[in-house]
Amino acid sequence: MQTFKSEAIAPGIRQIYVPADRFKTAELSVSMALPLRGDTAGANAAAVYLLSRSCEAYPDYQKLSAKLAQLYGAHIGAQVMKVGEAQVMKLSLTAIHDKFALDDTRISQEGVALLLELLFHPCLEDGQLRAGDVQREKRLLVEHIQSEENEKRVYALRRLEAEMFQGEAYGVNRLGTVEQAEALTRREVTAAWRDMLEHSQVTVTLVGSADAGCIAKQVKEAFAGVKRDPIARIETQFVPRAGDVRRVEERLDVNQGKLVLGFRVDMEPEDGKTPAMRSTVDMFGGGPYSLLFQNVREKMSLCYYCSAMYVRAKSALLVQCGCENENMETAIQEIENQLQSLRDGGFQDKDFQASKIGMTDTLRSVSDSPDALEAWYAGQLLDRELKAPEEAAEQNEAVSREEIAACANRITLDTIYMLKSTEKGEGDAQ
Amino acid sequence: MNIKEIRSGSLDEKYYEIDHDTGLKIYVMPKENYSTTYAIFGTKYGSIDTSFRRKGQGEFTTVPEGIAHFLEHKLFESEELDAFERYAETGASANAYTSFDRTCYLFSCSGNFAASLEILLDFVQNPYFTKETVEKEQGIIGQEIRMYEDVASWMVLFNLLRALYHEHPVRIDIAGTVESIADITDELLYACYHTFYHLNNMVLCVAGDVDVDEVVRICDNYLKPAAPMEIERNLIQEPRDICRDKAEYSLAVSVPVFALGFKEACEKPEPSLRDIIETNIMLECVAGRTSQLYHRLLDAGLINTAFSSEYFTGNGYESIIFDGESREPERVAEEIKKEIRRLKQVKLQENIFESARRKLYGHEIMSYNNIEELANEIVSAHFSGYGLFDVVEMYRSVTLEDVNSRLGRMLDERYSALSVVRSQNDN
Repeated sequence: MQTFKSEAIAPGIRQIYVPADRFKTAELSVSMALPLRGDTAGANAAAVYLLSRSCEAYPDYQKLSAKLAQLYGAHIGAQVMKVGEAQVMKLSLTAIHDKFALDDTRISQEGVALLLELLFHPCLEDGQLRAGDVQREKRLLVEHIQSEENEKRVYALRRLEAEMFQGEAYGVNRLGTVEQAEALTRREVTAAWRDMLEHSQVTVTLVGSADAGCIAKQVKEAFAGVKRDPIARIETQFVPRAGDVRRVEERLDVNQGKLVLGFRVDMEPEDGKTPAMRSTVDMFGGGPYSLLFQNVREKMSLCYYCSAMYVRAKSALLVQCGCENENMETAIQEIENQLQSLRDGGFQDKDFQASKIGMTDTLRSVSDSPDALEAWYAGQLLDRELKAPEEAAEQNEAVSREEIAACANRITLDTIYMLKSTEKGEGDAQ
Repeated sequence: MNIKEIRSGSLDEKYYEIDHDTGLKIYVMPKENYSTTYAIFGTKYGSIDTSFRRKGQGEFTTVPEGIAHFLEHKLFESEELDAFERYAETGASANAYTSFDRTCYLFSCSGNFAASLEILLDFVQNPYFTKETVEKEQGIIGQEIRMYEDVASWMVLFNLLRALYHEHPVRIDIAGTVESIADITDELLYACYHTFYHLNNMVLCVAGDVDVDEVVRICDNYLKPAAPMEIERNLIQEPRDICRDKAEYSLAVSVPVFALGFKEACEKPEPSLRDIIETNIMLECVAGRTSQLYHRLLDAGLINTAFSSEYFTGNGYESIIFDGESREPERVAEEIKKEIRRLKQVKLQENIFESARRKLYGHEIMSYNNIEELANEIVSAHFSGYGLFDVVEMYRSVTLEDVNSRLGRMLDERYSALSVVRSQNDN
């Protein structure tokens, strides 16, 4: 069964089509990748959010919202992602099939045209994005960055990234900083928009049953109107091994501390062994069969959650843990012990089988959700070769015990970030 | 046993409703070309059920706050392998949740469905609690409670509910408090279990890559017949008025988080599907993305795109909540109230109503992509006494007059309260 089609439809523009008539929607996204840089991250982010709220045909957000409601709640979304050291700005559309319309509205066709209109024809004044729009977007971006910080689990993860990847592009927040957002000018945001259209690596992803050929044509024509000079492939700096372990400690008014450990993974993103590495990370801190869950959480009750995440595109591994201040040192020690035990092959066959079967199950379930499918391919934006989830599931099946130990030996601890709670009794309801 | 096929021509979907001989209601919704299956086994028992008795028995039993959630955690354990270890052998990813009015156990899988369903039916029907395992869980849940104390959106909601409600147990945290869960014992857990985990009070729903006969066959083998039983819930009479109109909490947040709630007169135990849909359309008209208010607040810099509204309702409680992030929560609250006053006078217009209706109808169609959402919606529908396909039909039949008349009756600012979570530095 062919699960997806991928083809270059113009220089620097790739289309991925995942046909699926089981869904009642069509999802189209245009993802624009540029190198992640501290000085442009904020402007790029502000630009794509701004684009999602108005255009010449619907010059304010309220009019656009009314149009989307009329298209049966079609959804236009803007998103900024970090894939390796690329910053990816995405505009997307989700719309129900025409056959479910209560009248004869041609929902998908109008939706696609609207998405392209937003991307290519924002409201301009004197050749620049409107001052009011930029002003609003600056404020929203500041609050977006701050609101991520409100969620302490995310905050701790971002802080670890900033510390561990200092001097590497990956350390840059995909939304930029609050200070940068506040200082953005009309000129910068307008330039960011033009830069995206002219220079980005574009991926158009379509999931659902729609006329992919017709959409490819519409997209191609739209991009033909700009002077395209796409950048070459975006490379991510590969740091195979950690040096001395860095420790960073911070105190905040929180009830429960957070602990994040960052590891380097000595394996490039498209290495043939990445399925084994994925499996290794799952054995380390994936499901309930994993070493971290069984030991750090269950046996030693050191934390409420303790899990590992593989960042394939940056060759890194991050362990996150919700942990009381007094348990942190023991938890760090135990996480390191468990990594050692993985290296020594000190895990049970039944747990390895459980990890395998669980991962295969998860990979196979990707194809039942348009969002999961979209995200699956988005995670491979920098890859030369795309893989379907089914293919990854097959590769997962083939991983051996020996490969797990070998992979674990390619993981080294780089940075420890501790978010500790300040003295108790500072935050009570009145 | 009675198996009924329920079809929707307009949606091109169908599901089966089964009255199993054991007293359990079962729903099966096969979805063509899906590779996963999602199963959910739920009981109408949540955090608000803190006082109850079996019909015909003497006194009401009152149990510690948070016990339904505690029970959910404990049920995964058995004398031998716990349920997670058993699922590990089938590859299913399993979970459970407890809300105000239900507890559900679920799994999704892309293979070994029969074995996973057997595990689900087996562990939920076979409780095993001891003094030791209860004590161990008190530590783990204590940490979970503490974790939520740092989640601004959680704290802002429960502080609001405590401001709106005097007596109704919706005002208590679903997980209880570190103090209340300390009073939980194995005997109390068994008492709750034997009352609420009764097949007459439960529902099973399976959606996705599934065959109805297979589900029935497994149920025939694994379900234990139950004698009919009726539960009486002792809901304390909740006064119409609110406790206080403000709640403040301090947490390290960069942007203050707020929730403005309107306590509604709860005239019947639970709202009908019509009540829910009319109210959702009304809220979209008042404060959704298609409303004037939303854009006015956004343009004035008073809210960001996290702003939303919700019809928050269940057995014996009904309120409307507007929540979001703002540097000036008090001003937002005033603006919302002002707009409600205005709209009550001028009434909602046809075009706004039609936009909102279409939008929510479209979102309902979108939910059919997702088997997890579908299965959960079937369970909700079952506990509330309507059918899944009724939802789409209801969107077709609601009128502007109905919604305007609702707007006239609801959202009375005399019964509103504002809850805010902000950083100490902002106070």
